[in-house]
Amino acid sequence: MHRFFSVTANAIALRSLLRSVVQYRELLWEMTRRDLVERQAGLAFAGFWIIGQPLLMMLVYVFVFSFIFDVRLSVSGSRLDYTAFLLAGLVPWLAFQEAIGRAPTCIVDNRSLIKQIVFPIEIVPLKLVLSTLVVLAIGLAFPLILTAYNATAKPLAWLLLPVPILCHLALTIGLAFAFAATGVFLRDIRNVVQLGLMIGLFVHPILYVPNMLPKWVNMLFLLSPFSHVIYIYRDVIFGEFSHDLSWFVAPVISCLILMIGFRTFQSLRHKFGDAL
Amino acid sequence: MSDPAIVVDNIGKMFRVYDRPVDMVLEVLSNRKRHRDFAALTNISFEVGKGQVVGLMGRNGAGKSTLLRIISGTLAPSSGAVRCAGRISAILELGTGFNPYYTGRENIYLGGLCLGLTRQEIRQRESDIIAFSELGEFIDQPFRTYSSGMQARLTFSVAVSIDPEILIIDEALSVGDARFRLKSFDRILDFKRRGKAVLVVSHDIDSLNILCDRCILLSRGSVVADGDPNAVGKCYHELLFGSTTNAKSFALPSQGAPHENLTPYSAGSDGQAVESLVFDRNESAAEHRYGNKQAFISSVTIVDDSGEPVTRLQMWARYRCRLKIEAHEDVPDFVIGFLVRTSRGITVLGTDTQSWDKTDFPRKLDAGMDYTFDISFLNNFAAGTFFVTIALGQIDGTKIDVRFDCLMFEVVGTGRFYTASLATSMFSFECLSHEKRGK
Repeated sequence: MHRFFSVTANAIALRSLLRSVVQYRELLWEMTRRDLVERQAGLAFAGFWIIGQPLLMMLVYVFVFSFIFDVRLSVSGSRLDYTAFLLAGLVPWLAFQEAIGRAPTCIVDNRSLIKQIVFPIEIVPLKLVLSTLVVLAIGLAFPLILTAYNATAKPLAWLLLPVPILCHLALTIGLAFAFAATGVFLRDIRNVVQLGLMIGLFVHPILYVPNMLPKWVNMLFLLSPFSHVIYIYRDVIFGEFSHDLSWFVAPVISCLILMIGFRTFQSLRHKFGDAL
Repeated sequence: MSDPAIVVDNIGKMFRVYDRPVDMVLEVLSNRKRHRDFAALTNISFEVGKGQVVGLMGRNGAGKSTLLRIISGTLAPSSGAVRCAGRISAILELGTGFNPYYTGRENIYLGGLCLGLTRQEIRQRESDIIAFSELGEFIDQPFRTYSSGMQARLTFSVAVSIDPEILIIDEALSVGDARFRLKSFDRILDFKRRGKAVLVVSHDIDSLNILCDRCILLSRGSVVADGDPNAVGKCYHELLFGSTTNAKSFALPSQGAPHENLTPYSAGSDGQAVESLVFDRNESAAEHRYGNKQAFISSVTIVDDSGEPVTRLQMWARYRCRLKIEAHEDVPDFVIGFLVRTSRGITVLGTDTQSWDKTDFPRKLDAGMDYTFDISFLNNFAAGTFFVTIALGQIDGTKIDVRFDCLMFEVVGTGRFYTASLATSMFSFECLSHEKRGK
């Protein structure tokens, strides 16, 4: 088990990942761009499906929880407070879900590239995650605007926003690599991941107001790395730093998952040719 | 000689075949073997030098494409290693790295980026690529709407545009039209002149003869012959149409000009000998013979009007190719084929008795009889050296005795035809009119 956490192996993996990103930055940019705006595999409105769909989902959740269930953060809290709170967790989750949901099939879908040319295949999971940055950017604007509107905003805290975003990216990229690689050999991974993502929304601190929950549930949330990412997103957006533990755990565990995920991918990639 | 461009060192490839996908999971969990091994390639070793064009032949499933994928780096070998000097560009299927829904132009960019060019470099080459592919206005249509020939043209154009040290082509040229084939041949020969290595798979022996310095014949995942294209091509012919597909049968002794210097060599460095044949250039036109030996073509000669054997033929004279056949068994429905090829193995002319519908010809060879046949022809060949191939077979395709290049003849020419001419004809030039223009 200790080799998972081997510092040198992880550092080497991270370096080779960075090198490949630098070397193929144009290809990565091109593929990400096409993923977003162009006719991906014949879809007429690829851009809509990738950006519009998560935005529509946001709207549905906000409508159901803020307006139908009329959830408030506290008895005296306003409806918009909760909406901002909800979106601060939901937007990263939807971006995460979008990337991870596509990861298990991304290599298989691009098999023509892998079979025929010496293609830097690590670009494929990367572009999946990077293309969700657009959703994230557009989505995060809403809670920021809402807090500003409520005059509860602390814009100076927003300068820290890159920290949760980087943690989020590292975590998502790491998992995307792991699922992309294993999904080549076992197509069932896709179903497992989709089920996991469906359940995931309810086992992360996204919809729930913390003081409404039993203490053990809040403790349970801490087991998932993504909970920590959500906590630090909220801390930054609301400018209230109440999750000291997460500020330590989120960067460490995200980097670890990134490196282990990429190493899994690297160790399996030479066998992709056999399975495709 | 400088370092080789490609070194294939004792490559082996095993595929694991699982009956059910769940077996793979169980195998990982239980550490117990739940797959069957399929050996696609065994002990493949060869080198390709810089400035060499090497052809790869073999029947479907012989392992050609697997080998190319391993060399190009898209498939990992199970054992052994491949070393390549420099950038590789491989055309393994039509539309390498292309997205069928993008236009040709967008695919040039995508394909170029995939092959490691920068946007700037692609922009510089874009017009060259489009010009070479001759796609014209179609370049802005989606790739999937192209005919397979057009797809091949664009794929080839992009692959050669990156100016690789090593070019690998898997049958992509066969779908192009004759004009594009010539253009791509020229481009390949240009690569060769500039010291690049080219590896080509084709089923068209004539193309390989024209293009290659050397050919490698694969059968069931092993190299069975390696060397001069014409000589290896004849082995391939035997593999395709001979009665046995066993590689050992290449050692079949031929009566006319035996392969004395036919040296099997050991390809496996671990002492596990894989017999294969090596041919060098001066064996190009050596006779290659195979068949089931129910009858023997015991002699082949060309005789003139007086019945004297000749090897120097005059242009436009009539000659007879005289065959002596000993029948050892009854051979019903026999066919005699007559083929004339150049020293590089390019067919100039071929025909057989079936095509000429002779009624006064015996239908069957009887056991224990000797036959003499004459094939009379008007010598329309141009000055040069030619090789006669005589094949004795049956209508159903059974090969009884095939003697590739069993007889050489030379045509002495008049100076009237260019030296590269293969055939001649009677020409007359006439001036039909000459009068002043503009009345």
